[in-house]
Amino acid sequence: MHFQHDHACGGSLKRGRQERSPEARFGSRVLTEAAFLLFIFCVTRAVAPGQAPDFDSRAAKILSLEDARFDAQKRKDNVALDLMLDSAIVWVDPDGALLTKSECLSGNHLASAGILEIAPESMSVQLSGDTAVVVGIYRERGVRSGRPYRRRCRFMDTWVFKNGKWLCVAAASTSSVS
Amino acid sequence: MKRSACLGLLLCVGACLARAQDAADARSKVLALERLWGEAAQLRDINALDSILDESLMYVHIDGRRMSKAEVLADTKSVSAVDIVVKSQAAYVQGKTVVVTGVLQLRGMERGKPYQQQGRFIDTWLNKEGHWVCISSMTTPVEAH
Repeated sequence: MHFQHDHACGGSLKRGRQERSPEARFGSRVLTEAAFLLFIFCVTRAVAPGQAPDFDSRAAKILSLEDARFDAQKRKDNVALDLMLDSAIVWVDPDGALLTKSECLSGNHLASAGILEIAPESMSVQLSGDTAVVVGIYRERGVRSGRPYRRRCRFMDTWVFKNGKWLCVAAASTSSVS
Repeated sequence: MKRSACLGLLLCVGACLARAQDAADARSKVLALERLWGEAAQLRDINALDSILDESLMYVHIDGRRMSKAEVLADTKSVSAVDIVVKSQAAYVQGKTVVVTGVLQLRGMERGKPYQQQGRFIDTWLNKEGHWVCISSMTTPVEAH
């Protein structure tokens, strides 16, 4: 019964196609091509989700994120840092201590560091697909164990474009600057 | 309808398992390359180092020097024998990127005197056209407490 119904429909469709004008056939072809292009677009998005836009704008974006990161560190703004740091970030401070994200954001680390000023002096970015590495030098001034200190550090950060945004996945610095 | 739902669920589970397997493969390959790097540095095997370091490598030496790939290779050739012991390491997979961190100990001779230094390193590896290459490396001296 079901088969017969389908068959009947197929027959009427076939007749309908035969009766179509050239304009209708053209419209149908355009629709088919549009559907095909939409399918390709969806597949591409599914295979490569969140591909970053062009090189220059990505490099500029990374450098602005670095500026924002230093600014958030200076202001001890954990909310801003939380948005920039990946949950699995590997952070090595200038003393060589390894910190997790929660340790970075716990407040204890940044607060105890007593940073009064921290700002990048120079930085350069290297982009490879959805991964960016930034190398630079920053200057830091603060108070530690009741004593003021100043230091100049070299840093290296790795950023990865994930789910539509850049996240810092690794950050290391050293006070040895040759 | 039920069959379609089951098929969809199976596909999702399959995709998740495949992704987990990919991450495990990436982790083991990169850790093997880390071992190769250590051996090549000790043996001063420039060809091996050349194959695992990306042309655009960004490198910061334990003494704070920023170096290019060419400078790393030249430095490896010129320095006296260094004993490198990796005391611990862990790899974190981020899609096509793997971040490796660990602690290494360097022992060697400098100006006729023995030295020993400990550092914490972070290396970033990227899968470029099916090959894993190191795109950045930095070692921070670990202060003795």
